[in-house]
Amino acid sequence: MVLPKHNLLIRLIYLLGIPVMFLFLAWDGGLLQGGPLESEWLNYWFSTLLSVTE
Amino acid sequence: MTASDWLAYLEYAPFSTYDWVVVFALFFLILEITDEIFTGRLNGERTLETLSSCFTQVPYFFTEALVFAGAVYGYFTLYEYIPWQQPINGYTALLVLLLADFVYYIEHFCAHKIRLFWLAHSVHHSSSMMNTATAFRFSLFDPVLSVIFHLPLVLMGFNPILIFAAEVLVQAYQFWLHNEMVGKLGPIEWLFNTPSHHRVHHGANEKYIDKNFGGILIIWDRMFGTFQKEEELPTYGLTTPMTSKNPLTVQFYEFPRLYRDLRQAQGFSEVLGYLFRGPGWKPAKKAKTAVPNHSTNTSTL
Repeated sequence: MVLPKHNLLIRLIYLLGIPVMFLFLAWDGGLLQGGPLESEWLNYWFSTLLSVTE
Repeated sequence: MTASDWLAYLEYAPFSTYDWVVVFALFFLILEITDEIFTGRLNGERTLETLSSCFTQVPYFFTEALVFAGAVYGYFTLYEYIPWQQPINGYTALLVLLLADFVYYIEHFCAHKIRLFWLAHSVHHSSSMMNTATAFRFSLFDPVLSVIFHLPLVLMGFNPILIFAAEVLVQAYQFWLHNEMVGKLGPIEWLFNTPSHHRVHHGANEKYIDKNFGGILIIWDRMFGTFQKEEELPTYGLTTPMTSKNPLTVQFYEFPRLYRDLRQAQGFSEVLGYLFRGPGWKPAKKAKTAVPNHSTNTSTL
């Protein structure tokens, strides 16, 4: 299986964006806030991201 | 968490997830367009195709709002009469998510195998491209199907809020599946629907037709024999390509074809056949004279 030709940098951003999206959605959904999966590092980065977008 | 805590959470969280998924999807679409510019693949036709996919959201948005309002009223009215109402907690929320994913598989299967439903779903498949805009390409009649197929979950006694939350999450998952950026994902491919599996689903290649109907999980396809792995990059779209970018033609492409078939139908059983059998179905006597066509993804004319 061969994918079409891509720009390497753009594809890299895209591929990194997907796990970031899932991580953010899990965090926004409260799964990574509080409880055993609590992450201060994620709290800091995603809260910062939200404060910038707001 | 109490039942009311769960309800309050499920009334908010999945819809917030959906909103954020749309934001991410726009970001991914911009990346895909930029990639096409850098690799010299973007041309006028592909730009118009992407725009026509995005434009289907306009009529879809209105019918979705209308049908959703009707579903909220209808589901809750029905739910009040169910004597075997299920408890509301994390376990039932997870169970409903699993059931909603299975319902999605059945609904999707029927949307391909029943011509009346294919009338709506063919809009999603009529694009010859596979980018994030294709994920937004909906028929204005799509929401109706969803309400009908999820009704059994209400009859099983699940609170409609749990059902809507699960439906929204299954739908939100679909947005990252429509692209040609992500290759195969190793062991994830066994359990979950992935971009590779979904490219197969959009393929017009004979071996890819009517395969991989799953929503979040691909196990339903593996269980019911509709799974096909991606062996080469598919040719996307309908087997009889729809080349128009006109938003109205995109929405109603299959309608005149069905109308013509219905006018030619001889007797009520043929009318039923054209409406409820597969999209490639013809009465036996016409099928003998017609060119053999094994595709159910094709329009009949």
